[in-house]
Amino acid sequence: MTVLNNQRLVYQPLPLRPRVTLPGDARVAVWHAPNVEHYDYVPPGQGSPQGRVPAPDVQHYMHRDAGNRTAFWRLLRVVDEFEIPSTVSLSLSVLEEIPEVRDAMKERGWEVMSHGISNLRPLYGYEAQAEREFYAQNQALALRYWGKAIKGMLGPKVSGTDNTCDLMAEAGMTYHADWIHDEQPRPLRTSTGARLVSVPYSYMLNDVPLLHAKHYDGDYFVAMVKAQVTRLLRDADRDGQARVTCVATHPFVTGQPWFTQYLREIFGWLREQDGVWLSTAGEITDHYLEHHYDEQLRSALASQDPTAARA
Amino acid sequence: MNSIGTETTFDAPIIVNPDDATVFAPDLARTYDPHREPWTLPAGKKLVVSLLLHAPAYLDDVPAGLLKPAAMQGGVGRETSEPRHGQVARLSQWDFGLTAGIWRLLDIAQAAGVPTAVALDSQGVRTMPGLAELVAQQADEIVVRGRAANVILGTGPDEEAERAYIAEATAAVQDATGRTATGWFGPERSQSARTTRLLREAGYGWFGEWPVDERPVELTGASAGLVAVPHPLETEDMFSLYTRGLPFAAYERLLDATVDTLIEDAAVVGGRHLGLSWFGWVLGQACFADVAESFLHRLAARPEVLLATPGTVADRVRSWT
Repeated sequence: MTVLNNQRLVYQPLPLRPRVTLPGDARVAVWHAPNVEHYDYVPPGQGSPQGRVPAPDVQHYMHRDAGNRTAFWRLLRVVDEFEIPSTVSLSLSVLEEIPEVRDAMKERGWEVMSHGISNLRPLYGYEAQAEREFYAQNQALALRYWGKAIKGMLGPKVSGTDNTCDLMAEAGMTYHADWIHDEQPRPLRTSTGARLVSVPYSYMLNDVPLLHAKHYDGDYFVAMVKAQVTRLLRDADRDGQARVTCVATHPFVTGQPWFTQYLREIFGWLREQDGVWLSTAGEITDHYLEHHYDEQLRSALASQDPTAARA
Repeated sequence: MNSIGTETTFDAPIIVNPDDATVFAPDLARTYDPHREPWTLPAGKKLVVSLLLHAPAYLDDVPAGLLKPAAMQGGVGRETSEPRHGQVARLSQWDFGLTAGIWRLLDIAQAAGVPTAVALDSQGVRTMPGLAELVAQQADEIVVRGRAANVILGTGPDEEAERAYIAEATAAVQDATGRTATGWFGPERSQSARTTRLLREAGYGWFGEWPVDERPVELTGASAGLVAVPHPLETEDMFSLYTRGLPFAAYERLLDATVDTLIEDAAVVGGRHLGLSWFGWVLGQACFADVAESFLHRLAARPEVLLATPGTVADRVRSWT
């Protein structure tokens, strides 16, 4: 039976849930998600990536390509300076095609999250079998080039189908980052009952929407990060519910020379915050599955079923 | 597409790309910053800055059969729609660059001691009396910018039409200015997959529209001999002030921060290049021009910075020393 996307959410208001905690005394988990992407010079279907000129759009391609040639390495230097754990949202073609970038991430122990093969190849319209093969290929790439399977995905161009969650779980994945409906990890309903967790990604603390779509300056990104994390820390103090937030970057945006000072400010500030657990999406998922998933699911289902709630 | 060597070199690649995709740009070697020979600059220099001023002419009525962009900047500002006949707001804003803006920016650059390249198109030099001559008197380098601001290259026209486009623009700009041009910057940074080869065949030594790197890049294959002199988007006035819509004070901070970081990075990854791409109709506006003036004066005063035209940068692509 297909579970539609509107039915994936196992709803329970945050104030009514059993308490979620984090390792140590942490109250807020922050995960850094650099999006290391490949954009095809001419994508399948010949579509223009920004509708500006017919494909190839060399302005778009070269800007993204510079992300891997120069800007990625600058971002990496700042990540190294503050020892920020990173969950790379990766166009998996990079594993096979750009060993320099792959190996630099591997040396640092980054966690790989699938972001598809190329960021100009979304999942919309995939038949179930083709999508099943897509995840098998994801895992084959991870096993050959990274040495271990992938735990989660942010869909390529944040795309998916009605089958996505079920097929991810079938392929052994345990978290999905497309869902931003919450401040805590949450169960996602699957057709087989396989355990799949949403770990909230961010389109708020995210350089593309902030700097390229909404056109704010670097100061504003810094202010957004501080406001978000400060508020989450305060609320977690008040209600005892640990929270999760994500800082999403793209080398072709935050790796640009002008942004370095702001990136240093963001990472330096996060490092100084008591109660912040700088972590990865996979670590957050593992912790949640081990300590909270079953209880959270049980509580939410009971609250939706009057018979169970009375029992 | 090819798979490059990995520790599992003898295994076939896992990814089989769709037949209709071109995964990587042709004739562009894939090199990555810490994994290549640094670009060496003279002692004490960390960053080369070149300044390219655009002097494009906008065509109100693009003849049928010519390729035009599907979106572009300029005009009243509520939209970045396809250029259409009768958009006087957009037409006249681009024309401002040729009547006043480009001259203001040239004055500023000269007063700051910054050499300039000016990019002209055939529409401008044919229809704006005096434009080519005055640019020729003032610019250190002449660059060809195609046929018009909104008549572009790209997928569609056949190879003969593209070759003729390049030849026509080249001849018009060189004839009108009396100068030889070795550099090209396509309108709206537009190209087809064959453009770099055709530019090389037409005798060009460099082109500027790829925001691909922080140093000049030698092309390979059929485009060998041609050098990409990159002009980043972020430091371009049209991108920052129009596409991104930054306030001008933020743009000025961005320019300074870019120079600071590139100088700092040179110690780690070798000499850097910054190609400034500025439009007469944008930064040449009176309300914005002080940004150019104060930034260029600070830039010229920095001992780590070498100022050069993009053509000179292309000539020194392998090493400055």
